[in-house]
Amino acid sequence: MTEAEEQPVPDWEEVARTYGRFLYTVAYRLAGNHEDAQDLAQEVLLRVRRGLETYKPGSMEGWLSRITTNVFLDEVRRRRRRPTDALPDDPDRVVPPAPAADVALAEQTLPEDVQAALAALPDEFRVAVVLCDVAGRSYQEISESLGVPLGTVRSRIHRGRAILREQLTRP
Amino acid sequence: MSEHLGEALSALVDGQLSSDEEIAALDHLAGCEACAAEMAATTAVRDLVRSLPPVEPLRPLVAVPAHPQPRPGRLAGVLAAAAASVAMLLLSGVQQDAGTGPQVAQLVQVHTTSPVNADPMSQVAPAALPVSFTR
Ligand SMILES: [Zn+2]
Repeated sequence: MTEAEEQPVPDWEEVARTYGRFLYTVAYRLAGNHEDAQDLAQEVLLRVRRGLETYKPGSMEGWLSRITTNVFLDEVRRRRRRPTDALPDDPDRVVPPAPAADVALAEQTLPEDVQAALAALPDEFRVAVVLCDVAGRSYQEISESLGVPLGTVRSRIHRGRAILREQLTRP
Repeated sequence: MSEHLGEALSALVDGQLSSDEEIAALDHLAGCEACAAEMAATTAVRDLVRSLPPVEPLRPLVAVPAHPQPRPGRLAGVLAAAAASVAMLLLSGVQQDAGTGPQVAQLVQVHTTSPVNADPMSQVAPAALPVSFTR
């Protein structure tokens, strides 16, 4: 395969076979439960199957991460009924990190605790953290996927982690 | 002394600063205990999320719309749900159970007969694919 050659849109069954676990893991960490993760992952496969997503040759994980994120955020916006809800970027809602007394943090923390803390994050922060630390995307890719400036990506990832840390070190 | 690193700390531990920024950040870090402690804590949290295990789907993944949920006053949703019930009924060979209904019976059947490690396409896809809704 030559690099310059245009690659066809991947076949959804092939995508499901090869990247199903990656896709599902990202969907699960975003959605927080199996029911919604299944819906999310299947909607992504449906869009791939219907050719609704432009495929740019490159990383398949990056492409699937972008579609998954967009489907997830569409759903979040659809469900968000009250327009008066504080925006996640509102500084007042962001708890300042606890003093650094958490060196032992990593050793005692269970995956279930991390998942619960992740699920409690404001959606925009969780999306940024999951894209970075679960899907393994670069800040530049995350910026393009979300259509936000690089500085916003930095901010969301860092503030997301600060909230996680606060949650996980709470006695 | 330069400003504390603040939100640039995550980008620093992720190797996502520009080279100029990184040089300046490391320079600051060398003389600032507060930022060094923040960096250690940020790295610890980052590593916790990174080390979360992969998650396996409970059911094989197929390319179908999310199960339609009827909403009050939404005719389309109700129709879609009705269509789903009919389709499920046809596919499941008319399992009449007064308590649960065909939809539940079908779901339970799929659930219990699908080993987690089965080829995702071989079992459910043929049954599920004909059920297609326009959104
Ligand atoms: Zn400092």
